[in-house]
This record gives sequence, C-alpha cells and structure tokens, in this order.
Amino acid sequence: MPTPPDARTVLRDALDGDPPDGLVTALDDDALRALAATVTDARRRQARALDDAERAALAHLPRVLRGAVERILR
Amino acid sequence: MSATLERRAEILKLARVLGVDPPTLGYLDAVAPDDLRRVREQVTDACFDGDRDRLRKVAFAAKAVPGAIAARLAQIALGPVLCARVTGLLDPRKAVDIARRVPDAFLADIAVELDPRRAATVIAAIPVDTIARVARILSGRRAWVEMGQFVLFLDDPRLRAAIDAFDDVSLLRVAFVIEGKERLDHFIGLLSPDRLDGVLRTADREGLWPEALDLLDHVAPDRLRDLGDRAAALGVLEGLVGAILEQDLVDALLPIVPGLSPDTQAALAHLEVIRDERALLALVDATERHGLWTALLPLVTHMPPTSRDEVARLAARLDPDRLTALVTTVHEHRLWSTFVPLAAEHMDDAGLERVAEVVGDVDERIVRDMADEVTRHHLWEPLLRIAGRMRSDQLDRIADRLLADGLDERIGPMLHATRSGGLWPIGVRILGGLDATLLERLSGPTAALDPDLRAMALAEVDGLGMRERLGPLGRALAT
Repeated sequence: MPTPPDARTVLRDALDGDPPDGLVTALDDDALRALAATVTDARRRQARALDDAERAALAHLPRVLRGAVERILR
Repeated sequence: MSATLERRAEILKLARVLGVDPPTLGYLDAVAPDDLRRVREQVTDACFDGDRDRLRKVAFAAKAVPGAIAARLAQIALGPVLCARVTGLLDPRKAVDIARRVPDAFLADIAVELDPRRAATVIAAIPVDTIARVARILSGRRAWVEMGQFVLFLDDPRLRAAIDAFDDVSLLRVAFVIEGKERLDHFIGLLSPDRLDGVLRTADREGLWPEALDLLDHVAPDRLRDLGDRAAALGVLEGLVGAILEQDLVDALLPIVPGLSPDTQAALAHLEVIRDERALLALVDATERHGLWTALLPLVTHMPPTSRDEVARLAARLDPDRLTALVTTVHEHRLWSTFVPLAAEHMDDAGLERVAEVVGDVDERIVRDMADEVTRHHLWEPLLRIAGRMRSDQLDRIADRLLADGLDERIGPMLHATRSGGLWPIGVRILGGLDATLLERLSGPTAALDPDLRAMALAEVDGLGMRERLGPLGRALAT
C-alpha cells in the first residue's frame, strides 16, 4: 500500500509551489493538511463557478452572439 | 503595526481569497504575518494560474460582445469574484467600458476581490470620479483591510480622489493595514493641513491612536515633526499618551520621540498623564525591554524635576549589565549631556554609586568623549559628583583621559566647577591622578587661569598635602 504524502507535500501540491518555511515550521501536520484542503476546495469552487458562469453567460446571451462566444469558450 | 494586528489583517485577507470565514483559519494564529502574506499570494496565483486558460477565454469572449452585454453578463453570470480574476486579462479600455455600465456597488464588490498586482493597468485606467465613488462605498462598508490592499496601486490623482472619499476613521484604518508602508509618507503628503488636523482630532475622539502612531512611525522626519507639532497645537497629546499607556503601546511611542520638535517633546514631557509614577515606570520598562534609551533620554531633558527623579531612580535600579548597556548607548548616541545631570542630580546615593562604578570602568575612548561633551555643555560639576563616588583605582585610571586632550579647554572649566560645587576633594584627587608628563603640560594653561581661582585651588591642594605631588602644576597654582 503506497505511503500517503506528508503534509508539506500535500500543501505544496495545493499551492503549486513550496509553502513558506516559516509557515511549515509554525503549523503541525493537521493544520498544514487543513490549509491544503481549504486551498484545494477554493480552487475547485472557482472551477465550478467558472463552469456555472459560462453556462449562465451563454444562456443570457442574445442568440446571434451565442455561437461565436461558445466557440471562444470551448 | 503590531505583529498581532498585522497577523489578524493577513488572516482576513487570506480568508477572503479562500472564500471562507476568518474564524475557520484560527489555526494560523501562530504563523508570522510575512509568511501569511506569501501564502496568500501563492493561493491567489494558484487560483489564477490553475484556470488561466479558461479565464483568458472569458476575457476574450468579453471583448467579442458589446460593452452593455458584457456588463450584464458580468453581474448575472460571473459575479464579483470571477470578474476580479478576469479583470487583469481584459483590455483596459474594455474594462473601463464595462465598469461605467455596472453599478458602483458591484464595482466595489469586485474591488475587494481584486489582486492589484495583476490589475494595475486596468486600475490606472478607471476614471477618477469612479474611483471616488467606489472608495466612498468601501469606506461606508468599513472594508479597510480590502482597501488597504490596493489603495497604493493608485496613481496620485486616483489616490487623492480615494483619500477625499474616505472619512477620517477610514483613512486611519486603511493607513494602518495598507500594503507597501513605504508609500505611507507619500499618502499622508496628499492630505491638506486641515485634513491632517481633522485626522488627528478623529484619532483622539475615536480612540484610534494606535493607528495614528503606526502612521507617524512611517512618515519622513520633516512630516513627523510637523504632525507632532500639530498634535501639540490641537491639544491632543494628553489623549495620545493616555491611550498609549492604557493599551501598553509605549514601545510604539518612544521611537518617534527623537523626531519631534523640542517644543513638542517638552509639551509631551510635561503632560499630567506622563508625570504619574506608573506612567514613568511603564516608560522606563518599555525603554529597557526594547532598548529605547536613545528615545527616552531626550524626553527626560524636558521633564519636570520630579519626573526626572523618578526616571533616575528607576534607571539606578537596573542590574549592572543593563546599566553598562545604558552607558554604552549614552556614549554611542552622544547623550552624556542628558545622562550626566540625570545621574548626578536626580539619583540617590546608592544609584549614583552604581553609575560611578560603571562609568569608572568604561574604556578610555569613552571617557575622553564624555569629557569632551561635558566640557561643551558646561557639565563638569555633575560629572565631578559622579567621579566623587568612584573608587580610587578607577579615578586614577581615568584622570588622564578626563584631562589629557584639549587641556586648555578642560582644566579651566573643571577647576571652576570644582569651586562652584565645593568639590575640591574630588577635584584635587583627579589632579593627583595625573602622570608627570600631563602635570608638566597642564602647568602652562593653569598658570593662565584667574588668580583667585588658582589661589583657592592652591589652598585646597595644600590642605590635602598634595602640592609636592603635583610638581609643576603645584608651582603653576602658586605663581
């Protein structure tokens, strides 16, 4: 069974970069994982919000513009 | 800003970027503010970069539709958070076109979500009157932390418009949490004299002195002096110091003291609230804890005698290491003219002996500098009072340094002070500690002194049986 990644790695993956050393030192593993989860959640929410926004935008566009905008977004 | 408040502001900003309530990030209380700022920027970048292609497409689509439609979609489809993400990718002209078609309140919603690093060109293109209206809304919402994030990305006309739109409370609160404190001086420079007075009065009335102090701590020396003078003229210093003492912020006050004008320092030193024994204890305590003697000593020179007695009493209780550190600070910052009279005239016998013990052991270079400054400020009498408490070996060691350089300048003032203070025993002991070369060199300037002074000195020297020991100097006194 593969070993789960350590808390610092989990946070690095969530941030797409190394977290500040001071932050890693100041927080225990649980806190680092909690922060990573919050960041991941925020990114997921933004992706979902973009999905919803695109759908809503297309729905509200005048028919004449809808095709062109859809091509840009897809 | 204190680390606690800075951390609180950073957690608030991070919570906004993450879209969560600040209390849910309570576990970040142990993290340094700088690290929180860095992680916030990482989160912002990750949210932006992770969806960069999609956000670009949204920006491109916005370009493809008329401004009126883009403005409508911004409100009903994207919402303020996504609009804020897309803003930096928009052509500034398109962004301005959309901005003028949406309600100001919606623009304010976007503004608080904006990453100003990515939207600088768009911010620079927003009309000044729009900035003013949005700033007024944000000021009304008390969104100080959010405004503090981007306000210094504004150019002067827009910054001035924003400042004019802020009420005084907002101005103080925004300045407190502003990013890029190095521009605070410029920020304050845009305020009219009347506005500055208003801000100081508001700080006093609303209990916002911590914010005002932080601001004072970041302005250029000339402006600090001016603001200090204004505070004194407005009669708000009492409130300032009262609040500082109440909130244990003495360490925030002291660093700005040396930059105040002498008149304002004097007004500060004479405040009723600062004469209180507990207040003086807090001052000395904070001075010690934060190594701020260079700030306190100039203030002491303006204090009434009773306050000086109290400060001297507290200083005299410092342990030897701290007393040595204080004397070193006094030397490094040329504060002998404050310290010598404080010790000699305001410390009790035990305190004076402790100071003499420390001063008697300092390095010869320090003794020479001290003697220079004491001569320049006519302070030989108090210095002799300190010297009078030294051990003989200490006095013999430093006697040469006290009088070795600048003989013409020092021997006269030293003997005059000896006479006026009735300090002949110590004066003669110092002369007796000089080596033969110095006694020879000293004889010329001594022979040129006032005959009455020489006669009186000679009588004292003879009384102590020292004429022979003084050799050429004894003969110069008898000339």
